[in-house]
Amino acid sequence: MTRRDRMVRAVGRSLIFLACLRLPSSMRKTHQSEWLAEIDWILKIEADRWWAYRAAAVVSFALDNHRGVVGLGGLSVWRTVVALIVFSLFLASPATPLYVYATFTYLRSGGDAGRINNAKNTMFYAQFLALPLVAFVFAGVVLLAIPTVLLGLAILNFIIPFSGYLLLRLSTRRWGSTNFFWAGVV
Amino acid sequence: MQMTGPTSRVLEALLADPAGQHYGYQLMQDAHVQSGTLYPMLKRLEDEGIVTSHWQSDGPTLEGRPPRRYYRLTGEGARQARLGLAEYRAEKHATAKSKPSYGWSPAPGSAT
Repeated sequence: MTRRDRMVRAVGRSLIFLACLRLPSSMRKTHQSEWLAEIDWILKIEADRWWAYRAAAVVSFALDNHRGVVGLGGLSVWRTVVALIVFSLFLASPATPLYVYATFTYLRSGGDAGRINNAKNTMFYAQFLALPLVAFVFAGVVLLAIPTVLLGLAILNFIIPFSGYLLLRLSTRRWGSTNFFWAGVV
Repeated sequence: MQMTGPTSRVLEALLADPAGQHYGYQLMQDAHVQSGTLYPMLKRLEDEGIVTSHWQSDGPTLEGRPPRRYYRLTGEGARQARLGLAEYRAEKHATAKSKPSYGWSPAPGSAT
C-alpha cells in the first residue's frame, strides 16, 4: 500500500468511525467492521486504477454511508448537528472547567481538609455558572422541540457540580455556614 | 417485499449467481447503487429472510486484510426474488403501456 493509499484509507476510516457513532449501539460494531474491511478491499480491487479513482471510490463509499446510517435506524444528520451544538455548549460552559478542576482537586487531596474545602467551594460556584446555560438550552428545547435527551444533557451540567458539592459537603461532615448550601438548594 | 428500482437491481445482481457469495462493493458496482442505499436495503432483505450473511473465514485469501461480510440469497429468498421481480417488471410494463402518447397520431379510421 502506497503512502497516498494509506492517507485515503485513514480518511475513509475516520468517516466510517463518525458514521458509526450515529448508529444504534447494537449494530455499530458489525457495520463498522464491515465497512472498514470494505475500504481495505476497495483499495486492493482498484489497485490498477488511477490513485484519484481509488480515493474517490473510498471517500464516496464512506460519505454515502452517512446517508445510509439513517436508513439503518441511526441518528439523522439534523439531530446530530443539534446534538453537537448542544454538546459543544455543554463543554464550553464556564462550569465545566470548574467542576473538572474541583473533581481533580478532590481526587488528589489526599484527605487534606484545605484542598477538600477548595474543591467543595469550586463545585458550589460551578452550579451557578451552569445555570444560564441550562436556561438557554431549555429555551431552545421549548422553542425548537428538540428531544428531551438534549435537555437532560444540559441539566447534567447543573447536576454534576451541585451533587458534587453536596457529596463533598456530606462526606466531610463539615457544615460550617449553611447559607451557601441553602442558596444552592433554592 | 417492497420493490423499488434499486431493490430490483440488487436482486438481479444477486440472482445472477444465486448460490454465490456477494460482498458490498461488488453489489454496488453490479447494481449501480450507492453504499448509503445498499446497506439499509441488505439489512431489510436480511430481516425479511431473503438474504443471509456471514463473515469471510480466515485464510490466505485475506492477505492480511480484515475479513469481509458476504451476502447470499436463501432458497426461499431466491424464489421470492424471482416472483417479486416478475411482478415488478409486469407492473412497469403495464405502466409504460398505459402512458398517453403526446406525439401526432392519425385519427382512428382515417386513411393516410
